[in-house]
Amino acid sequence: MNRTLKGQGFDPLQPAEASDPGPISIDLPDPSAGTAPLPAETEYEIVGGINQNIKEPDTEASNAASESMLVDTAWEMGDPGSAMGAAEEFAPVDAIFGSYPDLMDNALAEVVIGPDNRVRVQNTAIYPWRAICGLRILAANGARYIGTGWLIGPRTVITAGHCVFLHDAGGWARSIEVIPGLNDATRPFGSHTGTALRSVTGWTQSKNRDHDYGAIILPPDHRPGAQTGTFGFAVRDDAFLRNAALNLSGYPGDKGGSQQWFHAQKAKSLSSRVITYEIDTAGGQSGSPVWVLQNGQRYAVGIHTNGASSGNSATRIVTPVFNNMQNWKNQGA
Amino acid sequence: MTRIVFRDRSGKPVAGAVVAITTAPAEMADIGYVTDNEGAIALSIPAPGSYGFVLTGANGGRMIASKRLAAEGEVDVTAHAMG
Repeated sequence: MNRTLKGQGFDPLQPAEASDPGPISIDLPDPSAGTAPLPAETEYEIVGGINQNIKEPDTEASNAASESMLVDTAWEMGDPGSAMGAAEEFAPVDAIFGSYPDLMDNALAEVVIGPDNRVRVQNTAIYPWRAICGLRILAANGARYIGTGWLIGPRTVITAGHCVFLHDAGGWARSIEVIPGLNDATRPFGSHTGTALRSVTGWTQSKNRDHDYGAIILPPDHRPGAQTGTFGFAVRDDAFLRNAALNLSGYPGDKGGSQQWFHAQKAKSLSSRVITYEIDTAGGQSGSPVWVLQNGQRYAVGIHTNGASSGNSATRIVTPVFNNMQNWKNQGA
Repeated sequence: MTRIVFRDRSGKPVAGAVVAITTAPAEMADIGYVTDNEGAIALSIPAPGSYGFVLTGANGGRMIASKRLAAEGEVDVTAHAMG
């Protein structure tokens, strides 16, 4: 069974001018410095849609209390971004497997080979790829993980909730190293360690997949988003998302976790809080942006979180999620 | 939680490797794991069944492994170099 890489080819859409009726909730992207070259990889222009406005109260969660017990928190305690949150939300498997028959030495080796449609981003120093970050996560219990995040502000990194709050590894991560545009050993925008973490109670307390999203607020003197540019984010309705090409780029562990890989597909299905697709992903891509390209602007519509044989999926950016992201963006301004 | 200890064919722990789960019988978080000094990761198994892994070492070398896993306990898994 192939958990994540679906191997279904994507029939590229012909770029077309989008018809955008205008979202209710939208945060403009900032490619930064006006010097952003066009992307080297293929993205797909989308058609427009109307908006959805979901009202589902949720509560922000923060590790601000525990930060005082961790390291170098003096600045964090004075950082508006560390305010305790009572705020409500309103709102492929490699084909090489087949080359190793010794793995099939028992009937348990259940590996299905499928085409890997991901494309490596060779130049991660250009926008938008440089706004996507490799994450090195040190959990509270000392275990280490890798993930992906993306900048929406100078020092606000959006990622999966399970990258900042790991239920099985002690809760809030001890620290997370953020590496924008990581490309093997090259770190074109340096490395930035964050300990101010954000998520929502729907994740930290309920471990509800629908609320699996979070953020890292970097220290005040670490502002990589001012160099890399940032993604916008927006609330989009079902009709829009069904017709949109969804772009996803991150740092898959089966490629070592230090190379950025990209793929695009249309959505497979939608629910009120989840977007499911057959974009190829692997462990390490949790937290990747799922974005649409519209009129030359990039708007994230989801945060990649899960892999499954029935479809990989993202936490959908609906109004409550949008509002929290906007709050976290302000905290990292 | 299931503790998985990855070893190479000689029995040496595969320490400091990035581990991606490539095959699983149920939906899983798409996070990557890093083996500790004993070559181990702790994994919350959503369902018993066969799991496949790709491991990447600090030197870029890759290995593959597969194993039937249960929800608890500790298992040794042999990883095979991809050449």
